[in-house]
Amino acid sequence: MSLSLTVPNRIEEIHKALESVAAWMDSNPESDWARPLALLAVEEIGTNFAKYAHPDGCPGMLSIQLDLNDHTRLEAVFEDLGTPFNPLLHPAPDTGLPLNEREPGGLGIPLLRKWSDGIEYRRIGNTNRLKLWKTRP
Amino acid sequence: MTKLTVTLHKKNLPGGALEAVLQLDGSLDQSGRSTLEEHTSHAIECAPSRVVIEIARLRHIDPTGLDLLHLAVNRLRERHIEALLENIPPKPETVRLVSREINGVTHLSLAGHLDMRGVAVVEKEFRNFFERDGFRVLIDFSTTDLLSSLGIRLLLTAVKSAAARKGRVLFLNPSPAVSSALETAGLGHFIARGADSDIARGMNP
Repeated sequence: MSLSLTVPNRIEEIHKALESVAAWMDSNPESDWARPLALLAVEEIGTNFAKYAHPDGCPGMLSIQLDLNDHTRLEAVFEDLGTPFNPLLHPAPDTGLPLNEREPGGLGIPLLRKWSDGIEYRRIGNTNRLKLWKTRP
Repeated sequence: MTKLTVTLHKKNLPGGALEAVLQLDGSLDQSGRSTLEEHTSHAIECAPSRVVIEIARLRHIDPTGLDLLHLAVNRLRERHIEALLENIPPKPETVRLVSREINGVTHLSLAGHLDMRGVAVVEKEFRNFFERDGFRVLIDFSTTDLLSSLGIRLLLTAVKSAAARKGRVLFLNPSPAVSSALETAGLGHFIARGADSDIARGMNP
């Protein structure tokens, strides 16, 4: 079972992509365990892409491939031709700061790290390629 | 990528009415537009009182495919034919905010996904609860099944507001996944343990 999406770099398009992922997960009830991570990954990676991949304002596309292998493993691959960005090198926000000093944001990748079994980033030519996976608990 | 195939079945309903079932298989994207339109026309020609579009067998659907489904539904409804999409919630509200007040403590329940789509639905109403001085709010996560970074951002504004307005906010009943997200965000110490009523009593001055 797989879902392929190509999403323009606009926040409203990420909303549409989430609708598609939700509909796809609805049609795969055996993989309900993967639903939160699939939605979270598309939202977090998609939002980063829409906001930062093309700072010049040029249009760009994010390719998303979700696979449910035998309903026992979720694999998500994201590819784009935007600014080189390795999210694994991006520092997590300091959540120990006093509340009045804390700025919102920056928690997407820490959440994905916690929820997935693994995340891998590669820069292949002009392409950012991020892959994450999780096996059914 | 597998091509879209559509099978049309007809069923007699009690009372002599006819139901047409469009069973979709394969991939639904732009390439399936004409196939879906053609079979929707065939279904309309049967003069049914109801058309059910089944998508359980679809292996792939993209945003265009989702739009095509909604176009097909609208086309049927324009002809006063009842149209049902099976196995797909038609653009559901992703989160529901229910509020009640007991002994001066507001109890907010967030049911569903507190993600990008959910935040868009509840943000305005949610923020209202944290704009009064000295507010006391319990946020109940017992029916929250997803918390994304945008959802956490919303919660962070609530706890920051509590610090600024001498208010109090506590989190109740998070699932292990939501609890883990709260811990990751450094908000774990707002999770209250114990019976809801005891916690609410403890919030009163």
